Amino acid sequence: MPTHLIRRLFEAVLVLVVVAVVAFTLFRFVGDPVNQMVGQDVSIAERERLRRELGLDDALFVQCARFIWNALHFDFGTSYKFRQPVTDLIGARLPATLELAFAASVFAIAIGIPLGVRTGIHRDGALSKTIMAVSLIGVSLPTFLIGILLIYLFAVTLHWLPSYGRGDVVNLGFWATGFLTGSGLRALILPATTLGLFQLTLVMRLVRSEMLEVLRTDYIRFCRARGLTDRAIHFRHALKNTLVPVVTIIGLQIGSIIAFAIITETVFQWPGMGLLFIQAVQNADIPIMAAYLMLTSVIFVGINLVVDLIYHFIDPRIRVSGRL
Amino acid sequence: MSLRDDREGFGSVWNRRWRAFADSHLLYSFGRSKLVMVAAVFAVVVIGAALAAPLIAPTNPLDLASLDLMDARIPPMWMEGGDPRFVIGTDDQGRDLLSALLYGAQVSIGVSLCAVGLAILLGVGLGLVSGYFGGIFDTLIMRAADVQLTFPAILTALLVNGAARAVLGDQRLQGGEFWVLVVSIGLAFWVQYARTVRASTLQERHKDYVQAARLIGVPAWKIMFGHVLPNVLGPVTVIATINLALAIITEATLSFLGVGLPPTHPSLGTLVRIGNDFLMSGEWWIVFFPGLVLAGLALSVNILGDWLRDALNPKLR
Amino acid sequence: MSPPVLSVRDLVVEFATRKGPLRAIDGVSFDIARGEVLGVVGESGAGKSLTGTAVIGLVEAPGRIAGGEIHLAGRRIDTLPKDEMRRVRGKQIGMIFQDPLTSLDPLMRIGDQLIETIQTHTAATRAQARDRAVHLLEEVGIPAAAERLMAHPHQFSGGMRQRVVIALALAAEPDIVIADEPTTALDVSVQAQIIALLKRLTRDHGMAVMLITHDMGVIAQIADRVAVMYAGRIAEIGPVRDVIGRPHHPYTAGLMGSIPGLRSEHARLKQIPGAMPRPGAIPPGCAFNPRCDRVIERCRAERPDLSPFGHTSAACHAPISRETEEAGR
Repeated sequence: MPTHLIRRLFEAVLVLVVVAVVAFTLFRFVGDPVNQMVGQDVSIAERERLRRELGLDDALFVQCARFIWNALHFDFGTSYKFRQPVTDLIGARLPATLELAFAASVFAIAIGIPLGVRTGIHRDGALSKTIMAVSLIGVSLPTFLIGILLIYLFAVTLHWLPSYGRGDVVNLGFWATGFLTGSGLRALILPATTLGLFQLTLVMRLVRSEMLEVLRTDYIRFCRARGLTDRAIHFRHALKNTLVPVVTIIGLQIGSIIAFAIITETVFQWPGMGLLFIQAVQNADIPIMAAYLMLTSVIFVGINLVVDLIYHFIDPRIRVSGRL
Repeated sequence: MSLRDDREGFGSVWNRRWRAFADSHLLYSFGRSKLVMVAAVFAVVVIGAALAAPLIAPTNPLDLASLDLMDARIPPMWMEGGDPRFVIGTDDQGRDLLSALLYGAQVSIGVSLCAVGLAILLGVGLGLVSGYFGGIFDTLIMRAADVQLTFPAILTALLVNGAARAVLGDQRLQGGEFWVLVVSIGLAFWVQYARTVRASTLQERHKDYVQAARLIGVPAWKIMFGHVLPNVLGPVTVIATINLALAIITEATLSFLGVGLPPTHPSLGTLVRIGNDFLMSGEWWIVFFPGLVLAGLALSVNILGDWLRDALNPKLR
Repeated sequence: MSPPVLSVRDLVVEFATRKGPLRAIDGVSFDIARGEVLGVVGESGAGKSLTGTAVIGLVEAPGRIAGGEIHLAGRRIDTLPKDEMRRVRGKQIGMIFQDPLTSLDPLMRIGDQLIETIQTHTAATRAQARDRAVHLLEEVGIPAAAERLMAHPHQFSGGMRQRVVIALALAAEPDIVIADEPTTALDVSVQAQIIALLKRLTRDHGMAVMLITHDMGVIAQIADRVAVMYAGRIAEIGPVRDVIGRPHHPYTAGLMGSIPGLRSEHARLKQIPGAMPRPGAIPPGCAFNPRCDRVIERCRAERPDLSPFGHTSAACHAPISRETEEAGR
C-alpha cells in the first residue's frame, strides 16, 4: 500500500510540474511581459534594463525554474491590468470562491445521493421517472441560464433574495467569511443552488446507474436469497458498493465546481477567483491566468489524492492489489 | 462472436454494421418514445431554420447600418408597445430579435459542429495511434490525456481562448472569434474519443485476423481504417452526439462570459449576455427567447444522445 | 411416508416481451422428500435455474410465475406476501449460486455477512451469532474459523469462498437448499471436496437439496433422484440408478449417450442432432420431436404427460422399453 501511495504522489507531482511548465510557457511567450508592464512611451534602453531586471535574458530553464520557485513561495508576479501582486488579488478572492464551492457541494451531495438511491431502487416508479426527466433538463440547461432564471424568479419578481454580491462578510484576519451574517447566508443561496444543481443531477444519475448495476450482481441476489431485509440490502450492501465510483466522480466534480464557479460568479457578480479569472481572460492578463491555472491544478490534484486515500477505507481489495 | 468477426473480409464489416443497425433496437425504440421524436423534430426544425437563416430571417442583423436605435428594446408584437415588424421584439441596438436569433443559432450550431468535428479528428487519430503503435506514443498521448482530464473542459476552453487572445491581440482577433472558439472547444473534448478508440484498438490488435493481416504485409493504416475504425463507430457516434450538446452549451457559456462571439456577430450565448443586462428593468424577452432556443436545443440533442447510447449499446450506460 | 418438504405443481414461468408472454417454464411438477437430494439436469436454457429461482421466489421482472403452486413443508409459498416470503428465504430455503467469486459482498467481512444473516432469522445476540458463525465455518471445513471471520472475501480461494457461501446458506438451518451449479466454477479437485461436503451436510442435518447441474457425474455421486429438463418441461424423473441405467425418454437416453463412461464402454459417444428450441419457438406436441429418432405422428400433435414406466416417470409417447432396446441391438 505505501508503494501505491508513493506512486500516486509521484504522479501528482508530475502533473503539477507539467502544469507549471504550461503556465510558464503562457507567462513567458504569450504576450511580452515587458510590453504589458510599461507604457508606449518608455525608451528601448529602459525596456532593456527592465528585461534584465526581470531576468528575461537568462537561459529558459533558469527562468522556468525561477518561475516555479517563485510560485512555490506564492509569488506569481504582478497583474498587467491591476498593477498589483497576483497573490494579493487571488488571496482576497479565494475565500469567496471556496465558500461558494463548499455550499454547492454540500447541496449537491446531500440531495443527489438520496435521490439517486431512491430512483435506483424504484427504477420504474412514476416519481423516479419524473425525477429522471427533470434531471435531464438540469443537465441540459447551461449554468448561466439557471442562474438568470433564479435571479428573475427570486430577485427580480419576488424580491426574496439578493441577485448579486456576497452580502456582509466578517473578516477573520486572513479570511472574509459570509457564513456568519444573515445577509451573507442569504446571498449564498442563489449562487450555491445554481452552481450545485448541475452536480446534483450528475451525482444523482451516477448513484442511480451504479445502484442499478450493483442491484443486478450475484452477491445482491445472494443477499436476497438469504432473506435479508430490503433495507439491509439497499443501504448496507448496495449503497456501499456504489461508493467507489461515486466518490471518484464526486471528487472530480468538486474540481469542476471550482471551474464552473467562474460562470456562477459572473452571473451573480460574486467577488471570487472565477470572476477575477474571467476578467483576466478578457484582458489577456497572463499572470493571473497562470496563477489561477496552477492554483486550481493544486486543488484538483489534491482532491484526486484524497479520493485515492478514501478508496483505501472503502474497498479492502485495493489495499492488497494496489488498484481494482 | 469474435471468432466469426475474425473471418470476415474488409467490406463486410461495414455491411454487418449496417445490418446490425437496421435490426437493432434503434429504429424500434425511436418509434416508441414520443420524447425522442419530439426532441428529433425540435432539433431538426431549429437546425434547419438556423441553416436557412439568410432566406427566412426578416432582416439581416449583421448589417449594422440598417439598425435604428429608435427601434431599441421594443417588446414582442402581442404586448403593449409591440411592433408588427418585430415579432418577438428587438434588442438594445434595435435589432430584430427573431432575425438575430436565427443567425445566432446558425453561429452556435456551426461552432459546435466544427468543434466536435475537430475533437473527433484529434481524438480518434490519437487514439488509433496510441492503441495501435503503443510504446512511447501511447505513453505520451495517454499521459497528456490524464493531465487534461484533471481539468474540466470549460477551463481548458477558457485557457486556450485566453492564450489565443493574448497571442493574436484584439485587432487580429476580429472576425477570427469563430475559429478561436472552435479550437478552444475542440481541444477540450478530444480525450474521451482517444480513450475509447485506444481501448478498442488494443482489443482488436490482438485478434488473429489483425495479426494475420500484419504478417501478409497489409499496411497499418489499412488495418486501422478497415477494421478498427468500424468497430469504434458506435461509441464514437454516441459520444459525439452527447458532446454536441456539451459543445453547444460550452460555446454559449464562453460567449455569455464575454470571451466568445462579439455582440456585432452574436451567437445564442452572446444574445443571452446582452439580454441579461436588461433583465432587471423588466425587458425579459431579450434574454428569454435566445435562452429558450438554447436550452431546447441542448436538451433535445441530449435526449437524442441518451437514446442513441441506450439503443446502440446498453453497456455504455 | 412423510409429506414432501417441497412440492411443485404445474409451475409456469413467463417473461413479458414485446411480442407477448414467453413461456420459459411450462407445467413443471416434482416433489422433494425430507433429506432427499433431487438432481435437476438439462442443457443450458432448459429452465433448471429458473425453476430454482421460482421456488425461492426471486423471479425478476419481466419474468413472473404465471401458474401452478409451490408448497413448502405443507404451506403454499408462491402466493405469500413479499415480506413473509422474505422470511422464508434463508430461514426455510437456502440457496447456493454458481460462482463463489461473485456471490459474496466484496466490501464486507465474511464474519459480518454471517452474523447479519443469522441475526436476520433468529433472535440471537451478536455474541451468540458470532459463536454460531464460527461453528458454521468450522462445519464447512474452514480452518482457523474464528480468525477468518475478520477476513474479506478476496482473501479466500474459490473453493474456500464456496464453503463460505454454503455456510451462509446454512446459517438458519433451512429445510431445503437449492444449489445452482455449485461446483461448475471450481477446479475439478475442489469440486470433489465441495460435493463431499454437501453430501455430509445433507446426512448430518437431514436437509433436502435441489441440486441444479448439467454434470451427470455430480448427479451420479450425490443425488437420490433426478429430473431431466428439456425446453422448460420435465422429460423424465425418477431414482438416479433407473434414469441413468434404464432411461425411457429418448432425450434422457441421448443425454446419457453423450456422457463418456456412464454407460457400457463399447457404446459410441453419441451426439443428439440439432439444438434445444428457445422459448417461443417450441414446436407443438412434444418439445423434443424435431430431434427425436423415435418420433411418431402423435408426438407432433399431442403433448405427452409424465406417466410411470417402472420406477421412473417419462413424458413420451414412444418410450424406450427394455424389449425394444434389446431388439434394437
